[in-house]
Amino acid sequence: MSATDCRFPALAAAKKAADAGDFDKAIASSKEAEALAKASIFQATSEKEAWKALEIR
Amino acid sequence: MRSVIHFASAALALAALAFTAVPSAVAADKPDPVTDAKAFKNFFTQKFPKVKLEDFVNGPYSMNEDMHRQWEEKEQFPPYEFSLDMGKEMFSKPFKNGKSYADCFPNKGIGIRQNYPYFDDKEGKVVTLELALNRCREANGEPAFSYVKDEMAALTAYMAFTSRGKPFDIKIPDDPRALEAYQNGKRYFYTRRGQLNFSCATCHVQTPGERIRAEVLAPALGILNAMPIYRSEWSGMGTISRRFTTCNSQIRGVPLNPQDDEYRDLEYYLSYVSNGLPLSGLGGCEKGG
Repeated sequence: MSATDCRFPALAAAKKAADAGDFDKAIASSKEAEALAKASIFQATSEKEAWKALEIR
Repeated sequence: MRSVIHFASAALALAALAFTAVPSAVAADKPDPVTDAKAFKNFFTQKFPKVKLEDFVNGPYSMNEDMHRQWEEKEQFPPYEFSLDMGKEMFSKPFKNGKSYADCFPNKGIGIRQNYPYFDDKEGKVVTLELALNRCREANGEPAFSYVKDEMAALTAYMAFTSRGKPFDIKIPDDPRALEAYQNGKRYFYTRRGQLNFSCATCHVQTPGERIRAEVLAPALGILNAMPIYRSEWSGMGTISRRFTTCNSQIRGVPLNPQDDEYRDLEYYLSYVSNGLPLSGLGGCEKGG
């Protein structure tokens, strides 16, 4: 299992399904990977400032 | 279909970039570690007024009387004893070149755990005990140990045991790089990550004493004073590196490499805010913590 497979399992599943010719599954996994990536971007961007709200003062 | 996969790949690459950008961002507020540490202790002592300050180092076992009794009973036949014996033997055994761990540390490595991690002004980075041990090995021609396996746990267990009862005494020198390392560690502690969108603080500040599945969560105050820790789930001792990486995995995040700068800074921050609390070295934990 490559590092990409471990870090992005949905993307790895999409590639695997596409290679096997199961394009419906490949598209579904790709969409899942895309959604997770968008959520990660949102989280990382918002947390640049949002972490301060949790801080004990 | 291929374009969908390509888009997902590009989005993931962007996500990776966004993650790497977080640690380098510097908060506008000037860090004030002394005030932070005071507020940190106040928060926990007010949240758990029945728990004595020095008892927070017992993690989940400090949270109620039943758990505390469990801790006292465990201490009659400590599950970490085998690791302690192994660590003592390893620590005493000379390297192939005749030197030993004692040659790498102040006071021959005995009773010094409370001073780690420290900020190394030559390197400009935080140096943890685990890192210092592996550097000692490499400087003497020995291969480094894994940061997450038994050997490192045993060595740090022995060194922590020789400091048992001594208060954490972490220094932040008058060096902007040290302050930045502290602040990076603080940011890491409070930043949400992973698919569960948890930060370290979500469990260890907002909900200590509560259960997450079968585990009772430990308070962040004093959490590193008990390290390395015996966990029933592991059936053995685990290092700070092991705890950090498994915490990240448990929230469905991608762990960093052990002893990456962010983890070293996190250890610096968490240790500093527990200054004055005694090292319990070693800790025990029913499962989580």
